[in-house]
Amino acid sequence: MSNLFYRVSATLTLHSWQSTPFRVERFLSLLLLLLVTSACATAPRTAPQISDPIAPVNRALFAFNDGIYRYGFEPVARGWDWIAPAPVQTSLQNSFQNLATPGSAINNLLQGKLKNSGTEIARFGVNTTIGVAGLFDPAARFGLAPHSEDFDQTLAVWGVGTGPYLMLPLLGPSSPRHTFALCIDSFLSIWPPVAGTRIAAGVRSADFLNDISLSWEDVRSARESSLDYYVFVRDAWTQNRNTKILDGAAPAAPSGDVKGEDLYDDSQFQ
Amino acid sequence: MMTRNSNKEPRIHSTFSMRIDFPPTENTIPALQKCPRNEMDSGFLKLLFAAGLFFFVAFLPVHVFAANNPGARETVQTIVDETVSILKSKLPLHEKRSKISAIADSRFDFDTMGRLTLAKNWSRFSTSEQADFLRSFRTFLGDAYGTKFDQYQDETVQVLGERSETRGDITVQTTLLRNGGEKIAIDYRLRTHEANWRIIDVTIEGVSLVSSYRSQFQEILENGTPQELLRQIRDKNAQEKP
Repeated sequence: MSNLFYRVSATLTLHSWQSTPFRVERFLSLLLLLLVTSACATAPRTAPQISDPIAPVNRALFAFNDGIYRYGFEPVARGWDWIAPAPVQTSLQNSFQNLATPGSAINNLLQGKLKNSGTEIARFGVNTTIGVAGLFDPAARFGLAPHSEDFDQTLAVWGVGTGPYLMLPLLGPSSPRHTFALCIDSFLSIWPPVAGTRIAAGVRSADFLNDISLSWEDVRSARESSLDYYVFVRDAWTQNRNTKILDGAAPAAPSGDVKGEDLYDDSQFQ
Repeated sequence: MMTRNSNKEPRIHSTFSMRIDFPPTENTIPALQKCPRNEMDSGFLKLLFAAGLFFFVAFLPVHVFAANNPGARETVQTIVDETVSILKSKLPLHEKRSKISAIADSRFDFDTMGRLTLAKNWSRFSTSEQADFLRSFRTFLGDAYGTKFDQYQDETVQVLGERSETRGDITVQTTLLRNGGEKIAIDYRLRTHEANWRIIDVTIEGVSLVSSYRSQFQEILENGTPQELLRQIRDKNAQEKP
């Protein structure tokens, strides 16, 4: 749902390709570095003109999703928010995020971020054991900050274009690349093979509702502070994805199909 | 509240504390001490001194300027400190709101923000419509974001660093630490306005406020008139506030 982009995982990664001995890793890192620096070089940051050719269909699906969210998920999640103390909600979120860490480690590896991959594995080890099944995050106190990556980010680093904006039923904002990556990521995540499909689905639903219980106020104020909520979500989701792909290192770069219009140039309309 | 006080004085201190002997002697310029006196004619020394004096004078105004006008980073730090101290005070809610609103008016460049959100549509607005838009947009932002401060729960803000941008702008990067330990990246883009740094955009987790409203206004103006956009903003402003 729209709240997914509110799941904030600050992943400011400093990429140090010089210090790595492996050639493949170095090559991949160099590729990434080029990607980042070329984004830097082309910044002035441009206004994202997001490709949305099936906007009417997307809008209809968005209205459907938003209806289910407002009259189904949100009331249930608010009930949970009312019952559960804040530390319980946070611990649950930690635990669900911990389950996603091995997948993130694999994606770090696929992007040539060896060091971050190691950090994610170490985080998983520490938080699963000392952190009691990931309920707590002692790893952060040992200086192991999360470097969360997903397969959509991996594909972006490999140079795969994102394609037009898509609104998926129930799953929310997406793109062809993102949809494909969601499938891969669900294979990368550990629980269906270990726990079986039913338990995995249950865990995911609980994770989903717990997330909404932590973010429904933000979603509400986002809705209130926008004139066209559909456009707001489309724009915000795209910008947020781009920032994550670039690890926050460069200004959010426009998607591939953007005309060079400087967002901050007001010389034409003083 | 984590504060990182930037040390403004030490940067210029070394320049000012330099003792100037006139005329220069071997003591003043260590490199000259090894040279036999007869090889150094006074003309060369004078030239050297003149060059030194030139650089001193040339850079003097810059230092004085820097000392009087806080940089972008200092500006953001000041805003954060002022706002947090108001939020932590025991003032009634409406007084907190009006004080924060006053800070926003002095530190944000709402006119530039408004123009940037309209972008190429700006010229479609008549002069009175433009003024009307800037006024309503300011009210709109105040209503939308001013009320968020009511939910303040001892969050802390850390100023991390800054980055130079096009047009002489500077982006100051900060992190908001929420109670649950959640970190939110908030970037402020600043531009100089009459020698003062003022905020022209706020980017939260990569989502820029200017870009976000630009897209929404563009969508409305694609098929609608400026009056239609103004009406929608006015309607939003007239809605009941929490």
